[in-house]
Amino acid sequence: MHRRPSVFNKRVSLFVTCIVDMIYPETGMSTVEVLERLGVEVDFPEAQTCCGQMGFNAGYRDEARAVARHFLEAFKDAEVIVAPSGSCVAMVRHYYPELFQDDPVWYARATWAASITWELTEYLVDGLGITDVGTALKQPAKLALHDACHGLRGLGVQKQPRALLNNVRQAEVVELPGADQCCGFGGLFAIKMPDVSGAMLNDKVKAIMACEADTIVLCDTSCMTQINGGLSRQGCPKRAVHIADVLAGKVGGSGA
Amino acid sequence: MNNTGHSSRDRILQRLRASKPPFEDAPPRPAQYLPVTRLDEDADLVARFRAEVERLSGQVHLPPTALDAMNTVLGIVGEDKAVMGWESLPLPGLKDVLAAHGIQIVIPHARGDQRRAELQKAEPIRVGITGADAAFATTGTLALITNDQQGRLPSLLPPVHVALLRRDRLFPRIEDWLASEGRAAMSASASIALITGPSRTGDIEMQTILGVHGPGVVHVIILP
Amino acid sequence: MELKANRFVESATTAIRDRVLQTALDRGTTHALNARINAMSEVTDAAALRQQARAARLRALHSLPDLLEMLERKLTARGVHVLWASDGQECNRHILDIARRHHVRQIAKGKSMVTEETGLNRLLEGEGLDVVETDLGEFIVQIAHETPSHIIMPVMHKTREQVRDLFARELHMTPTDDPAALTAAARAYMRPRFIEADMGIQGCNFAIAETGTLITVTNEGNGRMCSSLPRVFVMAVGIEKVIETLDDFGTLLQLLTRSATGQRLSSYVHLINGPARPGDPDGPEAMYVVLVDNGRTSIYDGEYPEALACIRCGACLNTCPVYQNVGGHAYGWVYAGPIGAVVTPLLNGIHNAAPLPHASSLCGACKAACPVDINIPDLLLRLRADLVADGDADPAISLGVKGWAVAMRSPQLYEVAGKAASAASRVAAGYDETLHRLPGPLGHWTRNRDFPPFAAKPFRQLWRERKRQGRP
Repeated sequence: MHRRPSVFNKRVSLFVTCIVDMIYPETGMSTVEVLERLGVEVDFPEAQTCCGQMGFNAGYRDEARAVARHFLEAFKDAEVIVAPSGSCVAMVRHYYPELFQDDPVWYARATWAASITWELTEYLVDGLGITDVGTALKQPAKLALHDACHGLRGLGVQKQPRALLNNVRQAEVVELPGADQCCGFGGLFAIKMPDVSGAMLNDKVKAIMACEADTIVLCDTSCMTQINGGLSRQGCPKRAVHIADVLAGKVGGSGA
Repeated sequence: MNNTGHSSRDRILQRLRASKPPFEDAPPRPAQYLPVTRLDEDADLVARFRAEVERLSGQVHLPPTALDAMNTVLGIVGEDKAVMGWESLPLPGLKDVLAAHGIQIVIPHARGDQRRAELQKAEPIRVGITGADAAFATTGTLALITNDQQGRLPSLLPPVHVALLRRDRLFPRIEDWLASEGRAAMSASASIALITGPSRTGDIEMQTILGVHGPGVVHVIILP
Repeated sequence: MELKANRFVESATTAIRDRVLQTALDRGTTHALNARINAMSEVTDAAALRQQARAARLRALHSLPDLLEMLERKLTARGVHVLWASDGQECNRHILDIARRHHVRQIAKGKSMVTEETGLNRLLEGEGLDVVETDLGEFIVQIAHETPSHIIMPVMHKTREQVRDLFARELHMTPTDDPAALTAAARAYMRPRFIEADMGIQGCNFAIAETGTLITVTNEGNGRMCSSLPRVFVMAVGIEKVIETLDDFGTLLQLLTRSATGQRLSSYVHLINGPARPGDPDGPEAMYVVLVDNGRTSIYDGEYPEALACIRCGACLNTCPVYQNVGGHAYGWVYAGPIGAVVTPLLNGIHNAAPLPHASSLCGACKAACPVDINIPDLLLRLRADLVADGDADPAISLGVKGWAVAMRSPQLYEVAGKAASAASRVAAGYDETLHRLPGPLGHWTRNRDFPPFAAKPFRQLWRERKRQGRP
């Protein structure tokens, strides 16, 4: 399991992530609501912007380092950092230390941040030991999980979202074939190699259309943007939603 | 050896030694290697070996007596008048029995000037008979060591390969043979073939076809 | 082989639109992927074995020069001629010299990726020698005048109908797409060629230093034919192939076969210790080993030595969603898929294969599949950083990233930019509430996907309002 400091009775600083902040603020709200419902104290360091992974992944390490420093500054008073995004958390946990490996002062800050940063579902299940957050859907619904790659392979997030969804009343959780197959987002990859990214997206859309579930649940809004972009363009009525919104009770019967 | 070859050697080795070698903290050799295949402690090795070979479309025979073993060979050879074979076979009397049935044992000596002629002469032979220096139960594998009594060709050229296996040569796993007899075998032979089932390919649309260039039919006769 | 890696994006697009190729790729990668998963699910402890295998490769690389000398000593003591080649040209020259010296006219060739790197066949054929590729997949590639598209399954990109037409045309065979009949035709074609060959050439899967043993892992039997029938036998061995001990070999061999084709062992594992001994009834009179560098030493003493740990199983190709969609030819060289995206730039110069490190969404499936746990995503990320540091980057993207970095370091600028994007996107989205066209390079997104408009109020604004209201 995680050899990271315990999260019990610690204040959570929400790292909302730039995509959620700008495009899916409701998901940010859902995250706050779920945490507060469980009695967690949540604050929001307002200086925060972005984790820097977009630049880092494209090879722009100097720029990414600058953005990372800003992140570390913004969260310097945090006890625990929680983000509704596997890829952003993977960036902080795995790559912040690497970015600062030649700078002892920032390296220490980076490893400290890495040790206290959690993806939402792993915070709930592994951190707090909670798999039932008391959610009931308004109507029965068939849900299926898409495993976002960075969360899955970078953080080991796979059992946690399933455990949480299985305890959502009126939700029937079915498997999405190829749930662990990449949706094709990959950051700037999506616009550098749009045909390849689109072909990977096609495979994902096909799997979703053939799947029993009407709603796909995931833990990363970058995948969500890619997947919904494909579903929408291809005229498929199904949609993908973030697990925070499901747990906050905002996802009803079929569709979001 | 020409000059270029020699200096390339120096150049390559020098370059490899120029900086600090990578992976200084690579884990040391384990005292005990974890074997790859699962095997119960009290497993019946013969049964396991048989299951593995048959799974690969090989055939395994367990004749109760030496005579039965020889009849099994005769059954496979059928109407053929010649077979290819090792000079030394682990079933005493087999050569005489084959001779008595008018079956010639051809041992091609494909060396020197006669190479091509011997190969061409041997090519039409349908059945090759060999022993087996070792076998591995968990993979259904035969180990055939080449020496002056044991040629490469009989297990390679004919479309049917008959391997005579002594029970006491059956190892649980390849790792066991490598650890106990591997080094000696490498010193003793220029060529060792580990044979696991018939020759096969999946190159055309992933469909398995047997008997591409090597034997498509493999019989293992486990000697009593 | 000619390097066409810089054309990856166009080649990938062509591949994606090729229906026949897509069918073949689907079938091939799904089959191979499932075979590996099955085979690895039944071993004693997959995670521990991968680390055992990885450690074996890293130990060998750590001691590489000493092990190469040990290998050479042991081989030489048994009468093998060991030659060293700094680059592809030298490798080819050595082999040509050997052929000339032994009055070779006909050559039977087993699989060798190293000789694909060096373009050996072209050189030998140019010198009037007859070379036949004896591995069925490589044979098909040869008579089709193509290049292999996968390390393990060279013609994964072909359907049976395509092979039928090819054999009908080149072998004057009555057209049939029955794989058994096609294979039988290849067997009949090849047998006399094995017998008539003066020289056999093969690549090498592992070179065991402890005992001076060279290993080939095959299924068809052509490998053993090439190394047993002709009077001269040559092996082309990349210097990174060396491993320390027989025990290491036991682990690596089985993980190779399970990862490559889902087999417990391949039909033939050939342990070659030298030419025919005086008493042997058959076997090659003379044996040569060419130890090939061709860029490997620069990987070794560079930043990416881990790339040399690869055992060429192809698992990463089969599991990679990019490879699954574009196939091997798009990568423009010998090695395709994730490992190809790493070694092609490293062996040829990153600017000659600049798109390849970017040909990945960094999903990590390759690392999870690799039997020696090579951290391919990490290698790709560092190669991308190298390209950018060297100025090899799309100027529009570089500009965008610089602007992004400036905005992300200033919460005020970040919010202002966000507000502007919000306003513009909501206008553009209109009643649809979705964007079908984005401007500039972002238009690549909307070519095949929609994009959501930015929200009217970002989260931070909702948070502030909530605070002011005293938290409901």
